[in-house]
Amino acid sequence: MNWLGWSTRAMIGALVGAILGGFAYAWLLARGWDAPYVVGALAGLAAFVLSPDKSGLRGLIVMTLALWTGAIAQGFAGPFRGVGVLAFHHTLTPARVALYLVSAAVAFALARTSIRRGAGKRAAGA
Amino acid sequence: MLIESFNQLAPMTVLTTALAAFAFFFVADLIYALDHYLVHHDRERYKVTHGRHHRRYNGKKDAPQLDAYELSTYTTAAVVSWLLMSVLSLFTGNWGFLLGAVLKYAHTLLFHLYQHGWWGAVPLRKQKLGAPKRTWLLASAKYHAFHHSHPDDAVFTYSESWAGFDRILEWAHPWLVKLTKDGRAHVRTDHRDPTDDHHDDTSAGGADDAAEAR
Repeated sequence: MNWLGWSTRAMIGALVGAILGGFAYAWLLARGWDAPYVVGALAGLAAFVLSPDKSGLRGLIVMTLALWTGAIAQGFAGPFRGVGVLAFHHTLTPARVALYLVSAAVAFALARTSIRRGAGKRAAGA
Repeated sequence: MLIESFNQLAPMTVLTTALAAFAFFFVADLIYALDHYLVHHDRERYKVTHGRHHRRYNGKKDAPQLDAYELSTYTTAAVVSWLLMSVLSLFTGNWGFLLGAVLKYAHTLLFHLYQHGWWGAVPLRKQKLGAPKRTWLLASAKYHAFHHSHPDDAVFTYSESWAGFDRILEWAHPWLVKLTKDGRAHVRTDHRDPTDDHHDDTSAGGADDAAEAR
């Protein structure tokens, strides 16, 4: 029974990618560049490279991971320093929401598929 | 000062959190009821997925009330809702959405475990639970349990929390069924009346009906 289209290798990779992306985002924020999509790109790319198969649910998990990591990372540097996740919504403007949506879209698009040619699709319960 | 501010804020926070949790619960159950209706009007999907559920609960009890397959599918649906609602909560600052998703999962598990209490040595259909009334009130476990033994009954019992969804589906059924996979197939082949939604032998009651008729 495969519960969630899970691949431990891909998920660990996504987690490492998200953490690296979080550091990169905080570093860029400190220099005045608001780029939360860096987190989505690195987390999604790691999952894309390490996934043995395709899984829509994995895409959703990595997308959520990227958004949460971005929200946490922005509190460490730049104009949002010290703002925790509970007050994250106060930092949002329509433009910033759009940037986070780009991050989500990139993470989902990459993590739901695999670099491997002919990779099969995994479904929950299968 | 801080306590005064908290006292002013707290009732609103509790109210908005509760409203968000209720909103998620309501929408999730609407999606579940609609998807339940759709799977009953998609023969292929019914055969490979949901039909198992009806076959299982119409025989004698010979397995756990909640098996690995059911736990997997319910949990997968729950994880999807947790992920999406955690993001919505993060972006709105209202944690009621996430709370609603957690409560919905607890409701699904508890509702099904209680409802499957009717699954025993006597097959469900032979217990003659009695057809539920067309109510607009809350859907009881017994109300939904009837659906397992009579999936094609004229009184819809797809809903898990508010029976009103079933009444709305009954109202919409004459035209909604034409949009379902089976309905569209009927339009293409024009073999039978699209409002005739009875299943073939994968239907839960089919075999028992035949047996009882004999």
